[in-house]
Amino acid sequence: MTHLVKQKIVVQWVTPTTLHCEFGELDCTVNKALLIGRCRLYLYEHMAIKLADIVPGFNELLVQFIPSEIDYFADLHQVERLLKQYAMDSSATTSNTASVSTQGTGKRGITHIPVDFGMDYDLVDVAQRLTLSRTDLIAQFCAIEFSVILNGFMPGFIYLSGLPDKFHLPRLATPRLKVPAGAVAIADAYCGIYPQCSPGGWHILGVTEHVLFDIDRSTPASFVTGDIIQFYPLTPVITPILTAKIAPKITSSKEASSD
Amino acid sequence: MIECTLTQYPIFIIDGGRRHAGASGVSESGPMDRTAFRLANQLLHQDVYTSALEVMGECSFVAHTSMSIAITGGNATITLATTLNNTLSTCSYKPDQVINLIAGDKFSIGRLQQGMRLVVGIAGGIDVPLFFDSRCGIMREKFGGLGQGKPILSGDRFAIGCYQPVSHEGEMPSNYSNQSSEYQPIISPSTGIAGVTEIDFVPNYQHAQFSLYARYLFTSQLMQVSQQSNRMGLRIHSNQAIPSIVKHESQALALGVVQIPPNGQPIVMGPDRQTHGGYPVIGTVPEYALDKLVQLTPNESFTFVPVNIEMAIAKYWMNLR
Repeated sequence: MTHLVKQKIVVQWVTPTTLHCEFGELDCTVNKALLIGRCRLYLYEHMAIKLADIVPGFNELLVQFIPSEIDYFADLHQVERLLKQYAMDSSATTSNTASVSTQGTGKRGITHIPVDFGMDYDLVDVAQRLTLSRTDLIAQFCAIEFSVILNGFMPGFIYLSGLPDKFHLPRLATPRLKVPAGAVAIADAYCGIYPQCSPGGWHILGVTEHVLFDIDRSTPASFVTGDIIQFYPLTPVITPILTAKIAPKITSSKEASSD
Repeated sequence: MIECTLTQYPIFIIDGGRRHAGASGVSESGPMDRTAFRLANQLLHQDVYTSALEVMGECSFVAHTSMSIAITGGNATITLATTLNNTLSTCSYKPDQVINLIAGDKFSIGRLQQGMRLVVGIAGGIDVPLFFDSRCGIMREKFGGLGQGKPILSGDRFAIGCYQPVSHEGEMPSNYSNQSSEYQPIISPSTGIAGVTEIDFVPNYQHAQFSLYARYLFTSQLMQVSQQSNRMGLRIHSNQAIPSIVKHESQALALGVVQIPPNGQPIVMGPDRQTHGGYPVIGTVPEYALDKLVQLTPNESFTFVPVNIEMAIAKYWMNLR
């Protein structure tokens, strides 16, 4: 349980207004996205007044300060202290909701996203490459609990971690010129959802109508780093066997997320 | 109300940039030349983050109400045509001073004789909606700017905001704004090859993973800013490619990070950069040096000079003063 205490978190100024906090190699029982996401909120809790932005990355937090609020040595030490303290606290209390362990997500809610697997983009192709039947692929894919790593490179594009090794496929040799908005796709170790129609080289498994980014909402992006997501298929492709496999899971996790 | 009657390049609305936007995958945005942006607002005696315009070449405007403007960042002839008692008179101005306009005045900015972009500060700023605390707009993001992320093009009209002057705190006489300015930003002294601009960079991110040879090539040769540069990034041309390294995961990008893609030609990331990028980063160009870099024309050479972060911080505050 002390694995996080030894965690290397390197904090340094990279520009006169930006602190770069790098999270080193983690024990495999630690969900890095969750840890980074929680650390971000923890920093906001303690020093919001000084901050212009905190951008989460795969392995880092980029903390941007309001120039007039900077106190170089004090801020560096405070950020370092807060991050280390948080990492230690959460490793000491793995049983409570602040847990960042991959074993179970505690009482945190899971967001269920409906996916239409009916339109065939790469579903059959991926199923063949994984030597799975189409329905098995959908069933196995919908059983995965994904964690949101970050919204990145375009507003609302979410990178999800949690894809098992056997699903890892290299990107398409020739990227598509047009990936539909809402495409749920996989590439390498990640799953992602395209917020808008754009070019892309990921394997598209299905399409969701969930709106990932809407500037007119009070919180434009639907998800933040550390959120948990699970997909479920829209009706057309569900066979009776599959329904039996998935349905209990959906109802049970909905109960979990309602508290 | 002000109207852009003709412009060669799109004109961008700039301000202090977006806040708390990165976690949603939204770019920071903001001015390319922050020194010039602050100066324009200082000349107008208003908050230094008041929104302004960033222009890259010839353009002309009609002021439909009385207003004050200040143009900074480079050198170009500013022509003002005003109709008084039914006679048209024109006069020309230099940048870095306040110009007072009355309703119906036409002003145009000529070709840039020095620098790559000018800031047109307007007393009161531009009145367009705020998103993430900013009025900037980026086309690909489809929000902000004049609407849907659009920049200002020929024929666009837009409202100006309410002028809220800040007190001068005894530093400047009250009639200062009518005087031609002697205001000059402090630029770090150059020590290298005569006529070659030095651009400071702070080695960080993956700098230590680059080979000694790559690091040597990065600081030992003359480079130019390519014409294919924009607000997302400045593409740098170097004769000898910088051998890059393999990096697997994207990372969060700070303003001014220098990415080295596989072709070995550096890219310095600007205010409209995407939040994350996958290329390895050799260091960051601090804000005060970026302000110089964005003003270099494609035929001006420069070299990258490594400075430590302490020096960069000192120069940053000297430039802000």
